[in-house]
Amino acid sequence: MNLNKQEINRYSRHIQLDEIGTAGQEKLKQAKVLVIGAGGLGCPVLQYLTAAGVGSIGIVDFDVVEESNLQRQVLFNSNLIGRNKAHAAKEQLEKLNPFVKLIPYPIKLDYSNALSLFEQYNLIVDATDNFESRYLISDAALLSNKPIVFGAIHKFEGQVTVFNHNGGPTYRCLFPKHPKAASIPNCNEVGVVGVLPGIVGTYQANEVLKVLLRIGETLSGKLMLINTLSNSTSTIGINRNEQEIEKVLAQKNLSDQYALSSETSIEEISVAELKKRINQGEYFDFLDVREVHEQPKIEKLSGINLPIQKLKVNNNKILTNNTLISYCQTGIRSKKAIKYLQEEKGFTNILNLQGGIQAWLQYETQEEQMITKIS
Amino acid sequence: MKVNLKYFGMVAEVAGVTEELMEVSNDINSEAISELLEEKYSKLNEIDYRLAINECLNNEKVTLNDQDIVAVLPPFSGG
Repeated sequence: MNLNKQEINRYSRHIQLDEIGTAGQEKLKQAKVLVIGAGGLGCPVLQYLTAAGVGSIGIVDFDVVEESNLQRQVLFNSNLIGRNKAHAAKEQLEKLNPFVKLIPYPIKLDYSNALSLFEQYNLIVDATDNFESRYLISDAALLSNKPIVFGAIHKFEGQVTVFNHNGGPTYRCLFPKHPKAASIPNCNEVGVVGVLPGIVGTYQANEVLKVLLRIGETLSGKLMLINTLSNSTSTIGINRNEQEIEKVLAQKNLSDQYALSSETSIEEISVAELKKRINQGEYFDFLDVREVHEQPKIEKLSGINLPIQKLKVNNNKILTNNTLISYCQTGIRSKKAIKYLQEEKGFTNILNLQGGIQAWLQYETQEEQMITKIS
Repeated sequence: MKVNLKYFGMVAEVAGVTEELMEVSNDINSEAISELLEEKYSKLNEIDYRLAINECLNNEKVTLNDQDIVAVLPPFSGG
């Protein structure tokens, strides 16, 4: 794939490097990279890969830009609050480099779409913020034989590595067990220093370029640990765990069950389905596990408000005359609540509101837009 | 003998320190280290973690030597 004059000028600082040159830059132009998650890690990854001239970049994110994202997700700005991240990212990145093809996927990666999406790309970037996606990405990448550049963060610390590259280990070789749901929190729950995903995501972008260009030594088989408080980094060797890899390869298709095998099964209901059933006259009981101060409160979903910490002492107040709908802001904490209520308290007939209040609001906005269009 | 423990993420929060020296019996293996750790910090029971001995994650049990470095690694989910 030849570079035009303008591209040669744009990428001249790359081309000057012996390790890259024109041939390397053309390799980048040919490459197709799928970035999953346009959040703290995804933003710097996307910015640097776009700037570097990676030819095609897919962006997967179902979420919308929130004000509290802007402290670390520096690709976005105040005007983009409320917009879908995949679309907003595309818009911003186009201004950075018109020579890159950007493909937004405003969807949630799941077992039904992962393989067909991965088939279309050379390399996958895991910039997600939850374990379910991380195991799903690892399994789907193994089944479709694509390398993953992985990054994850916790407060002031980061992990970076390359999985499934040239026969190297996968995420399941590092952490075979899906962590106990409530044991490891995400950034929305514990906070994170804004610069950290910038550092970790930039490391990821660097690894992507090395894998694509086949230069240097990648982090395949090595987990890099970064601590921004102590300025220390260390690298830990990871071996392939053939048993774990076999288990994944043994399945012809991906299934929720395997990825969540160490978890209680949690049933979910989409906003659309819930609304439909309410309109059909079905009654539900509601459990809001957000903190008392969290907004907005939705009248149609009013029920008991029990923040997850208080669930253990006050669960006798939860009504269960009808199907119980557990919800929170995004659907993560409410899953933990269900796990606890099912496993420890023997509750049955609970559904998790998929995507939580965010999804509810998004759905309502879409409904309004439809109505305005029609009228 | 003594081993040098290094803690990361949630494990460091539970331990309240990022590293410490621990006196252990001479023929201790990686599995027994986990038990000692969970005895000392009961909250570790609730966290999944892997042990890396001298910067290498082993899929099998390993016997430790004096001054070995044991990194206690939890997974991070954030992004």
